[in-house]
Amino acid sequence: MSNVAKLCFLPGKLGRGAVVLMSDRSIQTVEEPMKFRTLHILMLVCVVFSCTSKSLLADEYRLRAKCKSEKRLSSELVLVRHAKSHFKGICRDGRAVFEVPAEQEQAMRSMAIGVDSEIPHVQERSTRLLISYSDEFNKPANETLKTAGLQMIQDYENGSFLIVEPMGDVTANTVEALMADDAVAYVAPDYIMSIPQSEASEEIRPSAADSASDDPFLNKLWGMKNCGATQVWPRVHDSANIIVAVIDSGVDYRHPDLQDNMWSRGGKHGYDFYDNDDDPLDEENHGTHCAGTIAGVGNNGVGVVGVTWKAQIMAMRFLGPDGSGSTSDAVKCIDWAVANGAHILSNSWGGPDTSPELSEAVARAERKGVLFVAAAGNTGGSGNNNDLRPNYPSALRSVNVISVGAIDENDARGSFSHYGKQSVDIGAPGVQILSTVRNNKYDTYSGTSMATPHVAGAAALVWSNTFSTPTQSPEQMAKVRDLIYENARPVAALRDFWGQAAPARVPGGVLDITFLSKTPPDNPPPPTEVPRLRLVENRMIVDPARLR
Amino acid sequence: MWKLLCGIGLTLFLFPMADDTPPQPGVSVECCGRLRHGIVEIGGETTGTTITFNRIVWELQLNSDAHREFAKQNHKEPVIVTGTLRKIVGIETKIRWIIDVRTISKRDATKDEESAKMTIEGTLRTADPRNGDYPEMMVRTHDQVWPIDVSADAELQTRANLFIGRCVLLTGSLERVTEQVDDEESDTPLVVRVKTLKRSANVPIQGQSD
Repeated sequence: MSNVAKLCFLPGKLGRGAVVLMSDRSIQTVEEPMKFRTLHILMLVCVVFSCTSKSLLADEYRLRAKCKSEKRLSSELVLVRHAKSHFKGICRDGRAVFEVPAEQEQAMRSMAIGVDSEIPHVQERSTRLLISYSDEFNKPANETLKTAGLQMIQDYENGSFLIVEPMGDVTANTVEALMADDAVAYVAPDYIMSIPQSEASEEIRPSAADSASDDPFLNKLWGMKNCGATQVWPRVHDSANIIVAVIDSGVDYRHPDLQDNMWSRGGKHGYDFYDNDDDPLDEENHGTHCAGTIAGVGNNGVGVVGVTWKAQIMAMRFLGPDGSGSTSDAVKCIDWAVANGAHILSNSWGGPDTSPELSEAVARAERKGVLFVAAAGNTGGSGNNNDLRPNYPSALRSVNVISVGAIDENDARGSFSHYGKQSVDIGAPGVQILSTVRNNKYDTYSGTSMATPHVAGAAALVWSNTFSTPTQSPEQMAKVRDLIYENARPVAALRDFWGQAAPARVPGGVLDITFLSKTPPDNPPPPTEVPRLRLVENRMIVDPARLR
Repeated sequence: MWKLLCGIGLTLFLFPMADDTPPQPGVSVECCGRLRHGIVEIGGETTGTTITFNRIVWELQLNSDAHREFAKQNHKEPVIVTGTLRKIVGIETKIRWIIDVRTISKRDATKDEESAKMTIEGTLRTADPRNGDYPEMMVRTHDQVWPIDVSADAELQTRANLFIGRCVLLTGSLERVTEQVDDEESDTPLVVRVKTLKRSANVPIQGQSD
């Protein structure tokens, strides 16, 4: 407390009031007149600080007390996530015991779906641990490692983690020491995995593996390279049996780069709830632009290409020529698309208000097993923190919602992009995105609206590549969503912007589907003995039975 | 702790916050139109509430719970709104017009027609007829440029000519340059038909028109 500034009021000396800032540590005294508004703000800050500091201390105390109470489990502890991360708890035997708020329980349960199928990939657990730190300027102290009985092997700054080797057994002391260090974000075992040699050789192959479709604007589609689509295309580029509903201003289904990929039933390509008819032709361009990013026809020698070269685009129109629409029409679009078989809903729209009808519609989609990809939103200037001022539907808490922020070509957040550690899940390309617009044309747009279809298109590829018979199913939806989250590429500069809430698990993660270039489909050939390669597995697994 | 709180309370009581910033040139409006609430927009670029009049749509920034509750209750109803108008450049929605609402109330649609009365404080400028600008004068605020029409009154015309390049305070109504023929002509230019015009003490705003 010695260096905390003290405030003294000297009425009458400098106008109607003055503030003297004094530091106990220094003998310097500074006097400056202040406007009353600034003075009041300062005082309010003092009040807020004095009220919150105590609760912060209490929270920390509670968590540490919790850790001590778990000491009897110490011999089994192998994995710990620090109290200041979103999930509070400690893990053992590869399974986590979490203390979760009630409202997150559903999300956590959903995370657990499909966990068992993931476990067989793990061949062996190394004795090594990975200690992730949240700030490169505030790394875990050497003293911490020493107390924890750990020896540092490598500081891998690109991934913001230390690779450490226990000098003895991993005990409760290890856990306590790590939890006591604020610089520790979380700790995970460094798994050793077996992968087929053929895939290993693919991985080390340079970018020559990138597939160049013959679409003439491919070199302008930086987003396709950024999200790894170009690396995936040599192995998989179609998701013909996946229906992606573009809930937007409609789609120009006559566009030569889209017409072969339009969903169709009875000659109709969707529905128009703006004009209440069955012709969802776009009158604004926005929906057509999104559709081109999702599934612009690939390798047709025309224009652009989507993240997936082949999918079924269902055109849903509820935004008018001015780009606005009503929540009630959005609800109708959601229900119509779900009822007509859509697997993924791409929602590049939003607003500050929600309604029970909207959240119910998204929940109905969730129960059916339909993924709901939503734009985090734009605000000129420096964006908006959705944790404080939510934007809907992206801020809805249904587990099928993926809230998408925008990044530029340098992996920086688009200056306009909304963010939120808790309410935004992942980033995707959304600055200067070239795609289709009405009347056989192409144009470059920016916005989280452009980031959203990158994720929707990627989800289509993941879905068709993961399940040989894709259906609307909560299990399949959860698996697809988790694969997108788990394989997100962490970007240190984005760590404070998104990806810290369940079920997203990669702070600052951006869309990365390169794993599809390695992952076999869901009927893999029997494993064969192959040389082992070291990969990093940094994944937390939830045991739903242990959820409170 | 209690001493601190009491001290702060006393200080707040003795020195209430005062808005001591000088009034900025700007646009105040009284707008009669139809309210829409629960609006969504591409990229989420909306306040979620709009007022529509004469095929013009302006967003409403509601600044109190009472206003938000009113908007919920009066979706699609005729209302009168007063406030200040601002223009911001969006990302996916290129231009957004937003009224920071001061008051909002129900309107008797049989008595009050859809309209917007404007009070503008800004710098009077001449338009460039070579650019096809019509009418020949405009008033510029820090973020907006409004074409004005003073042709209805000879005295107003004379006064306006004297005030070119100076800061003025004018009142008028927002209208379309020509009458609408059908809905497709919703982009017909807007003009402020001036009713009163006087000099303002504010400093003229420099710079080119938008």
